[in-house]
Amino acid sequence: MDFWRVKLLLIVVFLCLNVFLAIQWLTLQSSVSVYAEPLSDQLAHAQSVLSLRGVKLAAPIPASPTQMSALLVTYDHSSLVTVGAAVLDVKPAQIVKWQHGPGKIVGPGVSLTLVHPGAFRVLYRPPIFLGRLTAGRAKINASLRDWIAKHDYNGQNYVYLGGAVNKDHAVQQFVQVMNGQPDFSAGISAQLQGGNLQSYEQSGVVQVANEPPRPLMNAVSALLSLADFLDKANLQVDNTIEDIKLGYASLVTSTQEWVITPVWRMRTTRGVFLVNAFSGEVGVEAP
Amino acid sequence: MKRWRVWWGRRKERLATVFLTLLVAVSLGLSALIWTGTPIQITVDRPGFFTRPTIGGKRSLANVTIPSSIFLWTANNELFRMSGDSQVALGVMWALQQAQALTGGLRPGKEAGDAVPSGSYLQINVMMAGAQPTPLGVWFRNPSWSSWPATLGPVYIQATHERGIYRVRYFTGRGLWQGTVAAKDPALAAAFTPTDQATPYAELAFAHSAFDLPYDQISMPVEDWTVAHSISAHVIDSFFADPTSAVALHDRSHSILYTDGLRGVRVVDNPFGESLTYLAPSAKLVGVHLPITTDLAATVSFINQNGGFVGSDYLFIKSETGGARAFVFQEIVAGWPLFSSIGQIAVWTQDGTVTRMTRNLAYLQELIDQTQVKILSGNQVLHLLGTQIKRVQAVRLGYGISELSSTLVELDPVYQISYAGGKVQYMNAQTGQPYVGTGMIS
Repeated sequence: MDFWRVKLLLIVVFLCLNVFLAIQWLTLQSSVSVYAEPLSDQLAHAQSVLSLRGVKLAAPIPASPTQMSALLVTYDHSSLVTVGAAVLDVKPAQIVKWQHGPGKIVGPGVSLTLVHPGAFRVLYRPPIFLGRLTAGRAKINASLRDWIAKHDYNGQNYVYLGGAVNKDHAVQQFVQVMNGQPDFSAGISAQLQGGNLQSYEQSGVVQVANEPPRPLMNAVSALLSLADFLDKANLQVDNTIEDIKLGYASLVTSTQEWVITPVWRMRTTRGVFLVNAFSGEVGVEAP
Repeated sequence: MKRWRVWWGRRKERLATVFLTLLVAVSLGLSALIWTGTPIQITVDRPGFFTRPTIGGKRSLANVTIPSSIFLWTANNELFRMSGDSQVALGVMWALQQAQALTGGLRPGKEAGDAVPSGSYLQINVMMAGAQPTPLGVWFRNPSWSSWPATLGPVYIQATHERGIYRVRYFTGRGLWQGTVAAKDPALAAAFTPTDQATPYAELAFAHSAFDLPYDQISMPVEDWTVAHSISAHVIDSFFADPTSAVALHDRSHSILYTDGLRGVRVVDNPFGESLTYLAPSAKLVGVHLPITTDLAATVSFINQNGGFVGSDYLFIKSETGGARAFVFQEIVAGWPLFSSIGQIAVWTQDGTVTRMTRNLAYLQELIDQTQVKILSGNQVLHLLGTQIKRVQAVRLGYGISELSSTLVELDPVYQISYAGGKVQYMNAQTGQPYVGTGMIS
């Protein structure tokens, strides 16, 4: 047998095979490279997925940081005297004189009541005049923001979220800022009659610790999570997303400490959805 | 040149061998690269992927939406009880699911008792907490019946002179409803004849109330079961889309709360070891009214994905407050309900989403011993209650649990006595003595 010829033949065959395999491997490398879909395409896809479920998107898509941390928080245990001194703008010694029992302070034209740990209610008699209705709601809201920032306990740490108006009566919401983001679970709810501030209820938390930072899903992915939630719950009803905001929230609290997690808050005509910005889980915020 | 030719002639075969070996090695290397580098399409069913089925298995809606019992009244005025999970009862339910509604309408009658027909009939006892109307579709899942109103209590089935045609009666919020259905399945016709599976019962009238209880001293087994304790960590993971985001928080009440902010799982000690409460608070959406069947399907699917059902069969009791619905699944042992928290799963829903669930992590694992005992008849029980009978609303026969050790329990026949005002007491069905038991439902 001529082994030389056989080996030559095998060399030719293996050369061809290796060329074929090399081409295959190179093709594979190019096909598995990551394709980043443009945000506009992602948004168009999310809009079409939502519209199939009767949901219309009427809110701009906000940008988001790439990472955030969940926070471990507890009630703000500041004493009623400390809170009262800030709200009434007097010294703590004066507050002690106005104290009615462990949970109430009655000062000139204002009373302050502890509702539960970390939450209190302020009632103004007579109400605080913020502006005339004829001057417009925007002007009254600006005065209210100014009032909250100056006269409320820790008021500079709360930002305006939005409000609801029913004839002369209005409810305006502020939320506490934690790590530069609004915490939708802690805030101020102010009651206005005409252009007068009648009362407000405030809750606050303090940070105990923070969890390690984790990658955050963007608002478009959160919209797709919402669509998935609507599918699972069999919720095929007309709805419109009016506002999307990133912040913190918690639906599960405890007597000691609890977790506030980054969420995409989607205000709709049917209710307020909270989408966990880490996992995509969805809950509905209490009105 | 000649020397070169000689050298080539001697060495060419050896060089060809080396070159060929190299080529083979390269081809093997390239094949390995392609093999490991090819992307594989993976479809991940999220809950199924992470859930460890350490507690139980999956159940379909048909497995859990069974009546607590079916009573057969014969033409001779005899009463028999058939367990909701008996072959006869399952046959009746199947036949009614296949039946076609023919006609139906409201009839004169204002009392629930007006629904009771005369002669031979079947009384399907569907469980509801309070007088909550429930669509028939929950049990029968038959679109043909969908236009019929919801029932407030038992559904009565009576054969007519025409073969395969049955009269259906029940009490609704608007009065008495009567309709006719065509059911071809022979199981329904056969159910009108008592079998060995049926327990003789009697309707006993005491203190202006009627109680359906065993006619005689029937035999029931006292059973010894081993108890298994599932590992909570495995089950807890299944409740979170991303288990790594859950933080464990220790409470003053010595419970542990696992939470990622929007979901929570609280693990507390209970008589059988540990029990688990899942929390996903969710507010009511404006203008959303889902049918109860949607919430029930979501509930069964949720339990299947988070621990599963343990035991042979479950019946459910539902109640409704505002927009929220509650479903309680109770385990059945040897045809009788188990009145203990060990076999109970309670689920609350809101707009098609589960917002809360409680269940035990301990469960009955294996039957190891069984002793037949004679239990008190219904008459004897009512006499033992004496003057208290005036306040009694219902008496049911079932099983209670006594803990023998952390891994062994005894299931005893007990009478559950429900009083006006919600108080519940248990009586040992063998001795007539008060029964305390372990983790009994109050």
